Amino acid sequence: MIRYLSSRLFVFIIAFFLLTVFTFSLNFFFPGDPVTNMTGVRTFSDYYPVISEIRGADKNIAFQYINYMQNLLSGNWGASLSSGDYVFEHTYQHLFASLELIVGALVLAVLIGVPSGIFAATQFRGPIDKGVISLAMAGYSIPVFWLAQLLILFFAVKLDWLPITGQINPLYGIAPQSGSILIDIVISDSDYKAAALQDALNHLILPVIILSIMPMMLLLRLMRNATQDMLQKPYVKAARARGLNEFQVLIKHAVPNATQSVLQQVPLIFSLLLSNSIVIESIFNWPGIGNWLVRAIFERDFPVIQACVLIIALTILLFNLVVDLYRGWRFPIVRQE
Amino acid sequence: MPHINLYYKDENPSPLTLVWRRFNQRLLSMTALYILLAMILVVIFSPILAPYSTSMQFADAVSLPPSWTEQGNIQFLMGTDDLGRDMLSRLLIGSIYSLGLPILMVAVSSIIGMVVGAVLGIDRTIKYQTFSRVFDTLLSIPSFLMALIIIAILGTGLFNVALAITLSLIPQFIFVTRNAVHQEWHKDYVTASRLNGCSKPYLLYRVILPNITPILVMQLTVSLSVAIMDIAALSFLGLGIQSPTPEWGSMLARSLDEVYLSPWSMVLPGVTLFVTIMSINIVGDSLRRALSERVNS
Amino acid sequence: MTKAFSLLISATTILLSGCEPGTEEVTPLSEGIIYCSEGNPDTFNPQLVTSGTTVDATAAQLYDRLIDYDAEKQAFVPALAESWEPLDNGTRYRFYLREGVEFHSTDYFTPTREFNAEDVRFSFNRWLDETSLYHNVGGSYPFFSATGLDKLIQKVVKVDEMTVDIVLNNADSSFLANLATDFAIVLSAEYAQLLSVKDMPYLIDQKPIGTGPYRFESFRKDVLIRYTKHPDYWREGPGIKQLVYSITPNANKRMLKLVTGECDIIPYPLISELQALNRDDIMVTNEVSPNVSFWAFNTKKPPFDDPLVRQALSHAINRQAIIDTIYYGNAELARSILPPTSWAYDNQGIQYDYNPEKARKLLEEAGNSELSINIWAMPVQRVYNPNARRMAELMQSDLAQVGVNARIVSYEWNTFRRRLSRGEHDTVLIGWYADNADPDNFFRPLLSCAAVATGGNRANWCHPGFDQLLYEAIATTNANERKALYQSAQHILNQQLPLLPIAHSRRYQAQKKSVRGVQLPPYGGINFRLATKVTTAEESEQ
Repeated sequence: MIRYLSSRLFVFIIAFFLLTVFTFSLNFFFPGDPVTNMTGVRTFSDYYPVISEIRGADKNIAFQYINYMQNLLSGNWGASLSSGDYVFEHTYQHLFASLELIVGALVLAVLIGVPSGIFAATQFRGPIDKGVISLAMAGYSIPVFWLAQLLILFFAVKLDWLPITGQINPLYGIAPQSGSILIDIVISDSDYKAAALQDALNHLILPVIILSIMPMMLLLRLMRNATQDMLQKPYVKAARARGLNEFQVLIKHAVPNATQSVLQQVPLIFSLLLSNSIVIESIFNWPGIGNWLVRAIFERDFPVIQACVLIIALTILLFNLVVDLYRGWRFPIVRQE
Repeated sequence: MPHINLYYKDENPSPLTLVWRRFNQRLLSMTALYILLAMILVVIFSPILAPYSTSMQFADAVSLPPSWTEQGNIQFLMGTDDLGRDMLSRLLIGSIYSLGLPILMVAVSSIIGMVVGAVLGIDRTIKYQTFSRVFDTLLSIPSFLMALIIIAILGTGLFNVALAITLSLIPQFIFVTRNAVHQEWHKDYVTASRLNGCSKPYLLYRVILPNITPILVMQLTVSLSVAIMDIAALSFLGLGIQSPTPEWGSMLARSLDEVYLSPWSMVLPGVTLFVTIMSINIVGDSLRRALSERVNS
Repeated sequence: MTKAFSLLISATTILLSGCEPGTEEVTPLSEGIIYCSEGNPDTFNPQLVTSGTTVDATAAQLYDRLIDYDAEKQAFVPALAESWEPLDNGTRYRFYLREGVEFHSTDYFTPTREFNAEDVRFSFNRWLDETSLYHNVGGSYPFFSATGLDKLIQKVVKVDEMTVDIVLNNADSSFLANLATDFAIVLSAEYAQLLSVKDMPYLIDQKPIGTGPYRFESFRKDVLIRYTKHPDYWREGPGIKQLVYSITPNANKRMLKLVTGECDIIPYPLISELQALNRDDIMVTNEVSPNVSFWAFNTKKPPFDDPLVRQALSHAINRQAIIDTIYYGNAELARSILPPTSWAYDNQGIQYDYNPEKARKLLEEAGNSELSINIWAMPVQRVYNPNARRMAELMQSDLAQVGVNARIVSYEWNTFRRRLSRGEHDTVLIGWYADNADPDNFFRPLLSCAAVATGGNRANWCHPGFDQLLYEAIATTNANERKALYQSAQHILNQQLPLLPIAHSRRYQAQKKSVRGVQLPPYGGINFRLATKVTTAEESEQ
């Protein structure tokens, strides 16, 4: 396990290193001055010569990279070109807002996708299985932005059940602290916590559901195929022969092994979730990292673009690491690969 | 000339043919394939098929509903948009940008990706394990994010978007080809050919390629559906192809301002996009299924 | 999506909305108003901008002016100045200030004194006096340089604690009108003093202090601005405790949010859509607004330096079709840059009606039959233009008919304006709405040679004869003389055509019926000073 752990950590660190090299080189690819792109200090600013000197703009590239890394690790991510705010201070609020959606969608996708997948596998090639699989195919193919608009029109406008954009009705006056609205409400000193919580949940429903549909359908298909594969393995036949009933066979023998192979695909699902969250956040004006990124691209705010890219990629890398470690811990066979 | 089979002849179809036979058996897969082929024909012949020019504005037929509704007019089969432009023509011509362009992008990126992937697949000079793990990890960064970064560098516009998505698709092809080549490399038949003294290019092209073709074809369909989705999503966000170009995603985006007055201008591009992606996904999924059945049997 | 799914969704929804706050509204919701604005403010000081978004968000809410303009009475009325008088043949104005006006007290500043002459002097010197400490903080003062107010005022003199004299270089008939605009606001000198001691002068425009009916609470870019009621406001203030600007750039989303009740009031609504919705809790109001949308040609760039080309292009555009499809008929075809409601309006000149034949002929005459141009279309909605990009698409096909190939260009709004000021465009679709009732406001900020330097002159057009007329017109107070001068100015415009006026639009806004007292003064931004919200019960009584 220790060898496995250290090898995975090593891979993570190398990947992180490559990622920072990539974001560092972005500064030179982006239009404009590299130092401005890094720090948000414009060339005509009084501070520019000083900053440029510190960043070593005239020194070799290795020095600049080391300098960049020092700043990166100490949280000095420069200032936004459009608002002048320090990027790092705003990063975690956006990240937490995004995570709120993503975690919600992931949980929903697992809660519905996995059991339905298993269920479909037990009905293999039956009408229910066929129905579920076609549904999954449709749900997987529907463009998220279109689905979002349709659901907004139906649930928010036609039925008037749900609000459309933002995290909460701003009149509740919940100050953003962590960025995650639910946490913010709990730690706020508002007199109307219950009502605010209610309102925030109402705001969460639509984006979470829409975001969860694609991964849910993918998960459903993967789970169904994997479970079905397992059900045909000899060891399952052996279990049946021992007199276990179908349910026990499923839960004790087929599902755990199916989970192992599906877990391998979970990073893929997570990255799908993140790229969809960029679109969904823009549609729902959700103050998350994806929305921030899209706006920054419009405003050509390079320090912010960089921060968003770094954060999104890093989130994915970390998630992969955790999934890998879990697999290694839970399924010894993985460690021997 | 009479052809008499004197000897017992073992029929030995190529792996692709085998997969195709299984694929052929399913009605759904074939339907999806026919829809897809029809769509591709539309892309090719859309300039001939479109009844009007995409920018032609009929001032007396603004926001006309589709012809099957009561207020519709058979002159405009799918109605007109808020500037009085024929929806059908825009959808047809739009297929060039929403389907034709992705096909082109996938073709370019697959050629680059497969060549690089094949070379990496047979090269075992570097510390292979670690490298491939790092590469796998970095691959989990979504192609959509990569496309966004490239657009941030280059700016929006038709060419830049095409370039961005093409580049963002390449890593997947490298990955799949490399893994496939890598897996085949240790199989007996390859070893045998190697011992026979085949050159590396010959090995790759004549020995391994036929055996991994189905996997590559499957990857092509996956990439195609990703490319279509990405280009539409980018245009929807306003970072891709800009209106008045009748790209489906940008048509969708601009239809939002008139959802109530002309709902069809939002529904039609969405449905077209949906059907296209769905048929590609079904084809890809059926291929995968046929493939795994072939391996299992 | 299929049945099982919608069932599931509705199940979750019902579960969560089961205990929705029903008819009984939660207190903070009934004590606040949400205004869904169309963009982020650039700053919280209207002195620094001409952008309507910033003015709407700041001027009338956070600050007061010396005098206000009452559009109904068509007269100037007292605000921070209780009274005023012209002295020395109109070259010196004396203002007697109001006693007992309190500045905002917030968590970042507590005033120790009331408003006095020092504040007026500081506020005017900020943009007037290049040597003053705060002049370089925040950069430029486009409204004041475009109207020439910074050249007109010689100095601001404090006579005593409550009296101020403004000394002019020469008499100017537009002076009081300019003082009553949203830009001539009064800042706190004491706050500025405190900030310069702390060495953070830039905060004066980010964390504002004023005397207005609301005080600044917080701002989150792309999300919201939060204001709370100023409890010690010197005149009748709002009936609500909170005013929130929810930033919603997308017009379609703004309308949907109004329908779902996430906005109480929205600017630039999609009129036709709202009418299609036909909801009885929503009210659409409209007023005459002195504005114009136009198509400006960059006259510094060939071939647009040739009036013949500009005229040809103008004949190629079907403006009536634009009014029908873009404005849904809610606008009037523009025959001059001045709206017909202005007293200096003149429509005697040549009319550039839609005539592709003539356009082609003129283009040939000018030797430019194969022309390729770009049209810059603003990315945002304005009073004068609800959808510039769509307008550009219409024009694109009109132009194609006369053999002109047009490319549409658009950037994010701030970038757009910056590049425009640098003159990177060939032609641009933009417009103007008046800050005051004086016709001068349509000419000098838009087309004078001085405005070329400040970037306000989108046509980059400098015509000495035209400039001369403008200066003569403001030097006199004789209305007939002025009218004649402005009419000849319009005549020159009509011949030279640096820009093609397209439409004068009405100003629309949509709101929930429960919101009362929001004012839309014809000259200037939105005003929430008297805003209140009535509950559903009260509403049915009325």
